[in-house]
Amino acid sequence: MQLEDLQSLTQQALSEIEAAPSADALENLRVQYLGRKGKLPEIMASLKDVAPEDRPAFGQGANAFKVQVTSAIQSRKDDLLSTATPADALDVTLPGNAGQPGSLHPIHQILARVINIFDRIGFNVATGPDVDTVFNNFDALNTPADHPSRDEQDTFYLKDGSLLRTQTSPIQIRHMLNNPPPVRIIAPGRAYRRDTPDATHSATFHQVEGLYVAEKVSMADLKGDLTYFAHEIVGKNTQVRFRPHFFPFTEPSVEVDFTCHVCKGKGCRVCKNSGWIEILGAGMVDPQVFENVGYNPETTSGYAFGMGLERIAMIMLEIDDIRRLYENDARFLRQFA
Amino acid sequence: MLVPLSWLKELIDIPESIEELRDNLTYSGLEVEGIERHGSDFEGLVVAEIIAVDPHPNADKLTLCTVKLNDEERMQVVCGAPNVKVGLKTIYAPVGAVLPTGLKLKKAKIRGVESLGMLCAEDELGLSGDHRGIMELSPDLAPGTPAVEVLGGPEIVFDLEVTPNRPDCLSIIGVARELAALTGRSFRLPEVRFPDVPKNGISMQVDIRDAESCPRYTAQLLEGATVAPSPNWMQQRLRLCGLRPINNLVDITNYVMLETGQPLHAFDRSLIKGDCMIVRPAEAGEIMQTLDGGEQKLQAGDLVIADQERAVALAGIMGGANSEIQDSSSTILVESAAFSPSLVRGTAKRLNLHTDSSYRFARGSDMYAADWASQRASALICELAGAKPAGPLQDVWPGKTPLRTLQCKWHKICDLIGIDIPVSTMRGYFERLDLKILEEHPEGCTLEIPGFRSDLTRPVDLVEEIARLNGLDKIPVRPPHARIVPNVNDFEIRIRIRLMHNLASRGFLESLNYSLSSSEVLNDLDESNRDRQVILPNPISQDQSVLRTSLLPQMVETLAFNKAHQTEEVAFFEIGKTYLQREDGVEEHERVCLGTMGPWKRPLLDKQASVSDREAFTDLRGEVENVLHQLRCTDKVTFVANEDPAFAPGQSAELQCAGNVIGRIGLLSAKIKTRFKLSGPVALAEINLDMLIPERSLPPTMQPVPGFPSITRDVALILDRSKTHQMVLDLVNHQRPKDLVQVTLFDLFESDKLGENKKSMAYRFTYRNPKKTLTDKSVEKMHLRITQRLISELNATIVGQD
Repeated sequence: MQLEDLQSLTQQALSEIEAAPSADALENLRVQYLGRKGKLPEIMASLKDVAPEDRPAFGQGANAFKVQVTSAIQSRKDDLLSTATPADALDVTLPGNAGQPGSLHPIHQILARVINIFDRIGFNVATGPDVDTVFNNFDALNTPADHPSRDEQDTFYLKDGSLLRTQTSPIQIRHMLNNPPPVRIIAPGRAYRRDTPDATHSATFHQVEGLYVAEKVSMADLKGDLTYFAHEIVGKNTQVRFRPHFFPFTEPSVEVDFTCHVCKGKGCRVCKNSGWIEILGAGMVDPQVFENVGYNPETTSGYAFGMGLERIAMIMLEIDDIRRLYENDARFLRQFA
Repeated sequence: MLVPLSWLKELIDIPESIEELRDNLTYSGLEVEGIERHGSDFEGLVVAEIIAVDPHPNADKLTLCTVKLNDEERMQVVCGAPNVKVGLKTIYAPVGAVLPTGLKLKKAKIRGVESLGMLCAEDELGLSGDHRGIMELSPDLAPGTPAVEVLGGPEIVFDLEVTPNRPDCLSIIGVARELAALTGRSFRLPEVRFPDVPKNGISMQVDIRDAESCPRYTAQLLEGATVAPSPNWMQQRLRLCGLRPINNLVDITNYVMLETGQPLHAFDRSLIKGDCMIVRPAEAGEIMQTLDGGEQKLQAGDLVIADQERAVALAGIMGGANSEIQDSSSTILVESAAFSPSLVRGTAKRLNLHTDSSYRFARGSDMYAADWASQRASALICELAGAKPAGPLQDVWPGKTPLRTLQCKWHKICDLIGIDIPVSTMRGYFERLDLKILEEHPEGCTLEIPGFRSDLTRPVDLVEEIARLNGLDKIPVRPPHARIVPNVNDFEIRIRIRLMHNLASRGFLESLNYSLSSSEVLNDLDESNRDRQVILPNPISQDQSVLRTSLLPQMVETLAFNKAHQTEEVAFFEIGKTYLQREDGVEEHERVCLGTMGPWKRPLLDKQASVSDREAFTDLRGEVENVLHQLRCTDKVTFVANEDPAFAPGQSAELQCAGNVIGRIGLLSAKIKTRFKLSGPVALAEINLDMLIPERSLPPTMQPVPGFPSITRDVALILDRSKTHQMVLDLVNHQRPKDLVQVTLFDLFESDKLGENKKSMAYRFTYRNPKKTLTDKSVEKMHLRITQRLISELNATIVGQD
C-alpha cells in the first residue's frame, strides 16, 4: 500500500461512516476499518514495504487514518443517537400521572394560616377538652348566673352536669389556671350550641381565640396585633375598625371589622355596601376573669379576641351555606386543593 | 330596637346625613343593623268616608262600598275587607294612583261590577304587613284630606342592635341621650303638661309584699277618659316601631314605653276589686288569664299584681284579661313600676311569654325614672283621651337606694386604652354622659352614676365610656412586637397539622364531620365502644344525639354521600376527636381516619380493571405505614388479623402498640356496603393519635453508611394460602443471622396451578457485613440454614429445588 492508497482509503472510510444508516452499520464499519482483522492492522503491516524516505509521511498518514476514522465514528454515533426514530417518539401531550391532588379542609386551611400568623409574633397553641365544666365555660368567664346562653335550650349538657363547651374561651381559663402570666396563646377548637342547622348555623362549629396577658397590655396592642393579622390574612392596606360591643368576659369589648376584601372598602354586595366586614369579637380581659383564675387585676392586663372559622372561611372563600363545610362533597373540597 | 328618624329628631338636632348618623350610632356601640324606608308621599290618595255598603250581586265575600271623597264626589268601590261599615274613615286610592308597593290602579270590573279605585289596608300602603282589613282612621278626619297628612310622609327607620348591657337604649330618649353624649349636642325631653291634681283627690293604695322583686311601684288614677282610636301621628309611630295601634289608652302606654324605655300598664279601675294594688308572690298553682287570652299556670317564684280578690296582672310581663281596658273604660289606673330583672326573665321564659315589657324589665329598667314615665303617660291620657287626674301619684319605693358612686383613676383608663387623654377631656366626656363628678383629686375622681346606666358598676366600666367618646378610631395601632413565652409545649398540635399536610400531598381530601352522630350508625361501625357512648340528654335531633366514639362511621357516610354524587374514586382523611364515657367523665382522643374507594391510587391509564380486595387493602395499609412513619412509630406497631363486625370476615386487622390496640384497618363488610349503597372494596383505617404519639421514637441519629458490598439471594416459596407473610418474617427473625440485613417480598402469586390452596411468595434476602466483604460461601451457609427452616417449619417448597 502506498501513501496515495492510504489517502483514498481514508476518504472512502470517512464518507462511508458519514453515510452509515444505523448503529449496526456503523459498528460493521468500525470492525472493517479499525478491527483486529480490519484495515488499520493492514496499514500498519504494510509500513515495512514502504520506501524508507516515504515512511515518516506514511506513518503520519496512518495515524491520521486512525484518528480521523475513530473520531468520525464517534461523531456519527452521537448523530445517530440524537436522531429520533418514529418508534421512539412520545406523545408529550399525554397527561401526567400525579393523581388528583388532595387538600386540607377549608376550615383547617384557614386555621393553619391563623396559627402561622400568630406563631410569628410568639403565640403558642393551646387546646382543651370539648367536654368541659360549667365553671370553665361560664362562671369563670363572668357569665351572669341567669344568662340565657346557659339555658338547656342553647347549651348541650351531659348527665353529669358537664357540658359541651359553647366557645373556645374555657381553653383560656384552663391555661391561666395552670400558668402564671405572661400568657400568649392562640386557642383553636370545636364548640357547640343547640342551634338548629341552617345556612348560617351549625351545632358543631370551630373557633380560634387569642389571649395576651402581661403588664400594661392596652387596646393599642390589640389594635396593632389585629392589624398585623388583617394584613397577613387578607392583604396589605386592610384596615381594622373597632366598634364598641358587649361581652361578659371583656371590658371594654369591641367588635372588629376589616375593610371588605372584595371591594377594598368601596362598598359591594359582599359587605352589604358598608365597606366593612365583621370578623372578630375582642376586648380587654375583664378584671373579674383575672380574679377567677387567681391573677392580680391590679398588676396584669390583657386582651382576648375570638373568631368563628366557618364564618371566615365562608367570607374569604365565598361559600354560600355553612352546611357545605360538613357535607364533605369531593367536588366541593377539590376546589380548594 | 326600631327608631323612626322623625321621632328622634324631635329630641335632638340631627344635622348629619343618614350615612353619617349610621356611622355615629355604630361607633357609639349602637350598631345599625338596617335602615328601612317606609311609606311614600301617597300622591293622589285621600281620606274617604264609607257612606253605603251594599252586597255584591255575584260574590258573598265582596261588598259594594260607596265612598264620599268630598262634598261633591262619590265613588263606588268593590271591597273584600271584612271590616267595612258605614261611617268608617279610610284611605281611598283612585284609578291611576301608584301605591307604595308599586301597584298601579286601573279601572277594573270585579266579578262583573265596576270598581273605581280601591280602599287600602296597611300592607298595601307599605305601612306594615297587616292585611286583616282596610285601615280604620280617626272619625274626626274630613273626607278628601290628603293621605300624606294622615299617614305622614316617607319615613326612615333605624334598626339598632342594642347590647344586653344597655337597656337604657331600648328607648327613643335613650338613643337621643346617647347621641347627645357622643356628639356633644344637647337633647330635650318631651314636655310633660300634667294637669293640676284636685285637692282631696283619691288615689289607689299600694302594698308591696316583696320589695326585692318590686323595689318601686307607682299608681296614678285618672278619671273621665274616653276610649277611642289614638291620633294618627301616634298610630303611625307605633306602626313604624312594629306595634299595632289598639286604642288611645293602650297606645299611649306603648308610646311612652317606646319613648322612655319604662314599660307601663293601664288597668280599668272599675274592674279592680277594692282600693289597693297588691304586689305579691304568686301562689303555687295559681291560674290567671292574661290579656292575650292565654291561661297561665303560676309558681311560687312568680310575681303578680293583685286586687283584694285575685291577680290582675303578671308583674312586668302582661296584664290580666280581668282588668284590661274596655271600650267603656273611663277611670284608669296607670302602673309604672320596677321589677327584678331575673324574676321577670325567669317567669317570661318558663311561660314562653315574651313581651316588649318583659324584654325591657328582664334587661333592667331605670327605677329612678318610673315616676316621670307615669306622669308623661298620664299627661298624654289627659290631653288625648280627655281624662283628669283623680288624685296624686301613689309612689311606694321600699327599694330606694342612693345613686351608685364609682372611683375613677385617670391613669388606669389611659393605660388600658393605650393613649394619653388629657384629664380635662375625660372630665368633659363624663359630663356629656351625665356622670356627675362629686369630688376630684389629682389621680382621679368620684362619680355619681345616673339611674339609667345600670351597666356602670365597676371602675373598669368607665374605660369603655372614655374610649368610645374619645373615638375607638383614635386608639393608636401599636406595631406588633414578638414576645416569647417559654415553656409552653404545643408540639402535639403541630404534629397534627404536619400530618394533615402530608396526607393532603399524598392525594387525600380532608373531610370534617360533626362531633355528634347517631347511636344507630355508631353501633354498627364501632361495636367495641357501644357501651361507652356519651349520649346527650337534650339533643336537637336523633342524628346528632351521641358524641362520636370513632371517626370511621362518619367516614363511611362520607364515602356513601360521594358515591351517591358520582364520585367513584376518592381518598379521604379526617383528624378529629372521639369521645368515650368513663366512670369519672368523658375521655377524649384524637384520631386519624383514612377511607378510600375506587382506583384512586392507580396511574391514569390503568384505572379500567376493577380494584381487587388485596390491592385496596395493601394500598391503604401503605398509607397507614406512611402515617406511622411520619410519627416515627413504624417499628412500634404490628398488624394483627382480627374480627370486627364493621369489616368483611378475614379482611381486617388491629394495630397493636405497646400492648394496646391503637387502631384498625379493613375492608368494609358486604352488609354495611349494601346498606350505604356502596360497591367495590371500601378500605378504612383508624388510628388513635393520642395513644400513638407518646410512643414515638427519638429523632434519628447517623448510622454508618455501608462500606462493603452486599450479596443477595432470591427464594420463591410455595406455601399453603393460610401461611402469612408475618409467619415467614417471624421464622426468619427467630435465630436471624447478624449479616442478614434485609428481607423483601417482591412477588406474590396465587393459583391452583401451584397446587390446591397454594401460593408462591418470592423473597430477596440481602446479606452484608459492616467490616468485610462477604464471600459466596459464607452467605450460602447462612442462607441454607434459613431456607431449610422455612421448608421444614412452614411446610414450604422452594421453586427450582426438589
